[in-house]
Amino acid sequence: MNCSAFFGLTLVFMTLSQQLIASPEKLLPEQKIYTAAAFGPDGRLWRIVPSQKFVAIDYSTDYGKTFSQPIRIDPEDKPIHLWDENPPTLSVDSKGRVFVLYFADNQQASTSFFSHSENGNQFTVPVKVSSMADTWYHYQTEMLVDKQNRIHFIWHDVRDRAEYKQQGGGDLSIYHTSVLASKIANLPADRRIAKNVCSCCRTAIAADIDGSLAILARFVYPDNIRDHGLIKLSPDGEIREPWRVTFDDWQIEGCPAHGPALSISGEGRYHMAWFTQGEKRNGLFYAWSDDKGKTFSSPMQIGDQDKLPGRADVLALGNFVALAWKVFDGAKTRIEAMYSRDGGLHWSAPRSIAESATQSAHPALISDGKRVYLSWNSMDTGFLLIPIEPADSDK
Amino acid sequence: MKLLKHIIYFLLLLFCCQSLTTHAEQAELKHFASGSYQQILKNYADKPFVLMIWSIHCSSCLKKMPVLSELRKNMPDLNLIMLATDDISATDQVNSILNKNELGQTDNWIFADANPQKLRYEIDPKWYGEVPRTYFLDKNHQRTGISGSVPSNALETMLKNILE
Repeated sequence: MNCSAFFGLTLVFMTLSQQLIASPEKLLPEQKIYTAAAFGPDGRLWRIVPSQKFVAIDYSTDYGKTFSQPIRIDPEDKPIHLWDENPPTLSVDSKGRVFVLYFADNQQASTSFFSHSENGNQFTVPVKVSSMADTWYHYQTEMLVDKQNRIHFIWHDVRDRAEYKQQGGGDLSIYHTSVLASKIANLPADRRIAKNVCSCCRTAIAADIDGSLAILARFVYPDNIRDHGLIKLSPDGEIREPWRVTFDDWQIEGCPAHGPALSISGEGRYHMAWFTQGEKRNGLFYAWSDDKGKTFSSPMQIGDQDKLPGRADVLALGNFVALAWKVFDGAKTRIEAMYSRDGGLHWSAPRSIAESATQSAHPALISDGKRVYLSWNSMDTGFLLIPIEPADSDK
Repeated sequence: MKLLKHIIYFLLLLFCCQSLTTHAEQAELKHFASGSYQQILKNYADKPFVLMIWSIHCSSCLKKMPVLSELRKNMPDLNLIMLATDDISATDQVNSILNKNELGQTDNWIFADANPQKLRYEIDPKWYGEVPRTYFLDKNHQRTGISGSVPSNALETMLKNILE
């Protein structure tokens, strides 16, 4: 054996040992199912199409039957990091501008990125939403475009960790920033709007008719009671001290990983849906309020208790209110839905509108201003857009 | 030529030792798929055990790790099984947390199915997925499930009950 053969052999051993010792290639979670969709003013249905290294946007002009060629948002690859309680958001404003929020691993895992487009053909270079995005873990960011075309972001941020260590209470805070759609150059400084928030439940956000923002979060109350509270943010930026709105007394030093849903009708009625396993109430519930969330109707239980009902979304379109939620029977996940025509007083019988035998996203309700639809995605069905109220022919 | 053989043997030996060391340091994280819960019941037939279900996203779970580490030291004969409900893509993070808390040698598992809801249902059809979730099983596998961090006095009582 000559020298080069020896080195060759050594190289083989080294390569072999490298291969065997090296940790297996890092698998990213299956991203395809965590999508988001919204209708534009021209009736087009826009959608986020996530993959493992980037997100793309496409649209449909036939209510989700076919989609355009997807356009990639960021030419630079980044590991996309989404999960069921941390999905992306897509919004379209009254001028047809498309706004996209998604999560990718950067200096911090699942960093929030924002990008927008004047017409959906070309997107801006994504920017980080949090002013401390590189130093503090933040996630579960929600985006809302209000009637004045101001884009709001709220998110869960761990930057106040030292404060919580001293004082106890919840694990993290909610931060907020907003910017006018016509003036997006840099996002303005963010600020804390709530403390003592449960770390793993998504927060819900809705625009009130008076121009203020209503934010529904699961808080950590004394003795580890994890019930919900409302925060109001007025158009001039004034924050009202959060007040408690659910009184189920779910005492748990743990992660429910089950956030609430909120929608405000054109008449200003608040509709909320939430999950609890409290001392006083157990299951999935709905209630409405006519005094801007000060008091709510007595909670109405939703779903078949034997099938783990959860993950409800609620959407009001005038007096029409829709509820959609997930159930599981051991083999299949189903989305059940019901609707009310009188602002939540009376409801249709629940019916199953979609099913999957594989992993699926949480159900989301969206509207084109005329009807309310379920927007849902699962591995075996692919993306589905289903009207909540059956067409006359289906009845 | 003889020298060469020696060098090769040496390299081989080095490689084997290296892989063994790596193996010993790393937690063996088993993939929890459909049927794994039944497999665990078989593995621990006629034996009491504690199944602690946790997630890297769950701060209450992480706060509990040092307590579990202490428990391992004080009760080395206790059958403690730990199951992370994170996606297998989080394997590195899960391993790092376990090793940091000296829990690498526990019977460790991670969710490995495209439909985590199905796995949760196989463990407990009444469980919604909140974590931590701890099951205490006696030797007949009669069990009690507790959601949220188990306070130390409750932990003591539960362990006493299953080990009786």
